[in-house]
Amino acid sequence: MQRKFGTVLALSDVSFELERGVTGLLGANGAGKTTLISLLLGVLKPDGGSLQVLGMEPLKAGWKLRQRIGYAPEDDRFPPDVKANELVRHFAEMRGIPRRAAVVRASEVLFEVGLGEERFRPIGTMSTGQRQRVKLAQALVHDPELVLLDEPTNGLDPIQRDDMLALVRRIGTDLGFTVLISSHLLGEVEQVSDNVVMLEGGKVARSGSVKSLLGGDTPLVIEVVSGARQLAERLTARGFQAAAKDDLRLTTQSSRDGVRDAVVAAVIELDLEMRRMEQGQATLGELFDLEETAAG
Amino acid sequence: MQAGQAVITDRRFQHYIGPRLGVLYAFTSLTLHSIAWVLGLKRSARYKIIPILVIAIAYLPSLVLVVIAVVAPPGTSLPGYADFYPFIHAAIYLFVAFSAPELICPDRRHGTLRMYMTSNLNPAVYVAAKVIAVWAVLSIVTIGPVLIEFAGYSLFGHGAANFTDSLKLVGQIFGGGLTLAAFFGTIALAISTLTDRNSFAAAGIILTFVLTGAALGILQGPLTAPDWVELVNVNTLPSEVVNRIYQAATGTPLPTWQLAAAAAGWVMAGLGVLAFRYRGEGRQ
Repeated sequence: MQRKFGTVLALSDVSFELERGVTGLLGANGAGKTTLISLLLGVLKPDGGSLQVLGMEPLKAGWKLRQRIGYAPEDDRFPPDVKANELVRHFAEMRGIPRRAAVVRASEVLFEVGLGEERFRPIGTMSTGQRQRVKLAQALVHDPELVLLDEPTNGLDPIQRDDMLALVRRIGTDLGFTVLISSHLLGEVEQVSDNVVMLEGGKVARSGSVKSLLGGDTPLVIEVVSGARQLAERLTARGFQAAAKDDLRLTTQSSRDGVRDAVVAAVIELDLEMRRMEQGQATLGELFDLEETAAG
Repeated sequence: MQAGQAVITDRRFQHYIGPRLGVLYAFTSLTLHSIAWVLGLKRSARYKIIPILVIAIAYLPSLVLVVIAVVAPPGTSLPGYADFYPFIHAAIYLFVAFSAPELICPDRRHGTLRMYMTSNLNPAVYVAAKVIAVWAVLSIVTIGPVLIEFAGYSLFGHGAANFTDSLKLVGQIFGGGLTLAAFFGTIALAISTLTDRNSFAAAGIILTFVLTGAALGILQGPLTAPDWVELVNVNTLPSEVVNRIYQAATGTPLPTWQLAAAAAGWVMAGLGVLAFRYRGEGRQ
């Protein structure tokens, strides 16, 4: 499948199959994640190739396919003065659920995403985390066969992000939905997904199970005030794989014994100021950089 | 409680096994939702103020006429049904300038339109629901007050001579009211597609109807423009059509079919603008 915007090739030769459970769609900003989701929904036309979603071609199937898909957009797309339960009920009806059932399901699903007490509040009065949950609720209310979540952790603080990821994981496992979640953070995808599709420059760089692709070795991200390149060189000299994209941030492998102690020691030796060291915040590009360093 | 009487009341999330309805149901739901939205139903009090105020303004003259009908002796000449519309013209303009933008501008502004396109709706069904909604909402002020006038006249001895005439009058009331609602509503909705902002759209609607009417009124009056100018006067054309529906005196010698065709042309042009503006929505 291909898709262009003017002369820019947003997606090229993309081919993958979605399996049950949670699949992560990983890629940097501009890698084509939202374009791919729009193509799956049938709101964008592919410029070439074919696409099958739940056994149907999105553009030909139209509403018959769309009512089997739940979609939570990346940005806010709902009027701020509408109450959460009203909005979720309304979108259940828009996807073919009769009114009486829609009312019941709106309450059930809002409870399920943790907004039981908040469901009568206007969306505009809610926090970012609560609004993300409302978006998730409206994507689930009609019990779709496929749930597409476009960057559902956008704008969330670390605690809210972990809560949201746990919720997405539960939706894919306990509730049995097939979920495609897009993210630009490797750690997020690793945390919730069984499988991953990695997009880079509009192409599928890799796809497969998280275990086979990442093997539990999500890079460790270190941020310093300056001197990241020096720090990367020092760690490499000590036998650890490390790659710095700029002078503020570097990645190193997390699975090696003693890597954290080595980082702290190198920071002290180089008299650098470290801001944070965290696993799970690496991007796909940083993963590839690190792998290139290891290979080269 | 015995073991056999136990009931699970908190079911939590259940997978849905009921019917899934199609496009027609989504269309009906969106139409009803849009009507309720404009009228401020299930919204906070501030969204109810304008519709209540405008509806009150539109209904006040009819209530006054009913009171007059109560006190006036039988045989007194009261304003006819066609004469009633000028009393509520301002209320119709206010209501159309409020309701048409409110029906579509927030959907574009907040991005809800794009969400609708991921549901059972498509651009044509979305536009159709909004058109029916604006016609229905405007009918509250173009049909309701005249029906009250009709009821008042009939109850207090100033009504139609017989049942057949009463039925004909009811038909005229609905015909006239729907003509105004369709004409003003469709054009106003088309104007509202040009912006995401309610206030800009409302200003555009008022300017289109009032300024065009004023400019063409000068042409038709002091400058004695040809009769066909009436066909492009969006301010007075629908009233002329309504006058013909009531078989009342009109201000133009043009034949009825020309007036009706021109009004229908304006409605079709409005629908054309709507179709053009939403042609690629959600399918790019």
